[in-house]
Amino acid sequence: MKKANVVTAADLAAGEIGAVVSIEGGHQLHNRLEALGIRSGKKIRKVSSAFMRGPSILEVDGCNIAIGYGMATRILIKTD
Amino acid sequence: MKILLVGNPNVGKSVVFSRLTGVHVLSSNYPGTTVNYTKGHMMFADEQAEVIDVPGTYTLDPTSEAEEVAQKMLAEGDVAINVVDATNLERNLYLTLQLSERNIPMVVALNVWDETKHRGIHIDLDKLREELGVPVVPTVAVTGEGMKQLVEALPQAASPSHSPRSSEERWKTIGSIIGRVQRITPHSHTWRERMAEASIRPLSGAIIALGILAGTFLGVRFVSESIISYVMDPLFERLWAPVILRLSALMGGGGLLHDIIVGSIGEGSINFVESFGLLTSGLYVPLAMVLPYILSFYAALGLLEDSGYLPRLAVMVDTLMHRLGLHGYAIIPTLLGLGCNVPGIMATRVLESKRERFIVATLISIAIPCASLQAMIFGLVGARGGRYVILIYSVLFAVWLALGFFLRRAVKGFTPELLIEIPPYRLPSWNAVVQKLWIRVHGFIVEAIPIVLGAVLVVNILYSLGLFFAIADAAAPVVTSVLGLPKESVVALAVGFLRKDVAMGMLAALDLTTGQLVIGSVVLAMFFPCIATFIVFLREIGLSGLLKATGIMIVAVMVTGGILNLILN
Repeated sequence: MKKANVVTAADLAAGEIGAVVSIEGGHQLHNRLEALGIRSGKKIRKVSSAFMRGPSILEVDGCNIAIGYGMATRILIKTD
Repeated sequence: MKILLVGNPNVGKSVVFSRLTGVHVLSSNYPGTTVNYTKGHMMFADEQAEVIDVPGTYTLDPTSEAEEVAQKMLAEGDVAINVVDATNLERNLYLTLQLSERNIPMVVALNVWDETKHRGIHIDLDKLREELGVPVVPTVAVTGEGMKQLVEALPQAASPSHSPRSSEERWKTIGSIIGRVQRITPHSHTWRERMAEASIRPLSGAIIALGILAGTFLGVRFVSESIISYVMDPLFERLWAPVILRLSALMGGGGLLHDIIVGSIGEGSINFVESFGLLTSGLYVPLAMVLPYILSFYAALGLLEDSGYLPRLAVMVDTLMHRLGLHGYAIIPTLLGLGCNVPGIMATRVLESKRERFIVATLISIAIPCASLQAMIFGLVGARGGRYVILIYSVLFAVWLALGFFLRRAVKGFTPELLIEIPPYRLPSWNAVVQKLWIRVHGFIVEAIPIVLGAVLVVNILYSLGLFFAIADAAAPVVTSVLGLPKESVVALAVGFLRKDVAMGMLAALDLTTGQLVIGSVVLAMFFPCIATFIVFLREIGLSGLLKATGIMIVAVMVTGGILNLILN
């Protein structure tokens, strides 16, 4: 795995597809994201992000999840 | 016997509940519609069974208040119906597995079953039953499909009683179940999905949000004013006025009883707003002035709720709301507050922290005028010119922003981040929208109208006893000097504690200048919330929160009213 290919979910461009590598955060963040289907190995698509550090929208399993900027920066994604 | 409906947010538990019990509860297309549990009854095996609609939860590890409620309810149930969104089986199964580790017999209702076909999702029901070890019934709650089979499956409810697993183990199990049970035919994104995404993209989304909000506002006003001009006013003026005039003559045209029942009316004509009798203002204000707005506001809100747009709006306003110490989802309680502050404050339960709940509830009770008051502002201030109505809204919006900035800094703690699921857009079903509208309008009729009549009665009695003049004199110095309002308006402000619409009617009867009327409207909107809001605030946020909010409110009213007084008078 080349480091260059790994970005945070916040930095992913709209329309890009990637797979979750890891979630850099505490147990609680892990659990909350997991409950919404965001966990290691999951394929996700970035739908959009707001400017000014607004929320990112990720598509996981056909579901759109809106996620705050701070949390999005802790989700590491490997792009194809 | 107690039957619990348990499932992820926004999978249709409340619709299943209504189908099973015949009790209609509010259901919408956004996560968190049900923040409190609702009980109903159904006949099951020749006995009365209690059905409980538990707030939606993703896991049984509580992370929000709604989830804590779910957790507590679970201990009391005899059977659980786990309502699962069939279009999102994988994620929903996490809760199913957690339930199967509890000692509660359960049945799985595989809801939204009809949509799996369009989305190319194939689920092997027999295999799923086998994997889970419990009955699995495909359902489409909105049409009622599968409800009978669901009830018939209840006696077979089984408790697999798995030993507790770690979350990794659960996801591993889910992975293997999904692998055996579900097959997805990949489909490319349709143009409709692309269109739907436009409403959450920064630029297009902002334009769409402004369009929808402006359209809703203008639509509500247009429909309400049409109902008032073409239905309510003619009814009152042509049919009701002659009856009242006859009654007034019969009662001798004056006296205490006459004034309480008919009010003070002129020769041959009736001012339904200002006469202040039980049968004149007491009926005209709630039925002809407020009800049309309640009707059209809740019709519009119902459509917005069921379409699935509201969570998208929450995303669009997230950045702004963070400046107020909140996240975007706080916009939903706020919108509900524009109808009535009471459900608005109840809905703050979807927010994670006590801090956020306090901030939103305080902002709602101070800066968000309810539909009843807004209707009166439109009717009475609008008569002096639309720009004054716009001025009132602008001032309240500025207060909302300024107060939010202040509260964000003043209340310790951090602002949690937005994390919500955005449901797919759905075409609202007319049936559901009309039913929901009826629940809310019926609520207004049975709860608000008696209070309006009571308020009119109390005002008349206090007036005749001369008590109001004592109250007015006592508070007059502040009101006249700071706010620039005549001392009689103290009485109207006090009545605002009972009903804002009645109070607004009293203000209108005072011969105020337009500037005073604007100040009066703003002060009335911000000053003590009505008693119903007060009680709900106390119950939801607690006494110390209520006292703090009240202190903030008094300062905010004086500052805002004082500034307006300097500018307008």
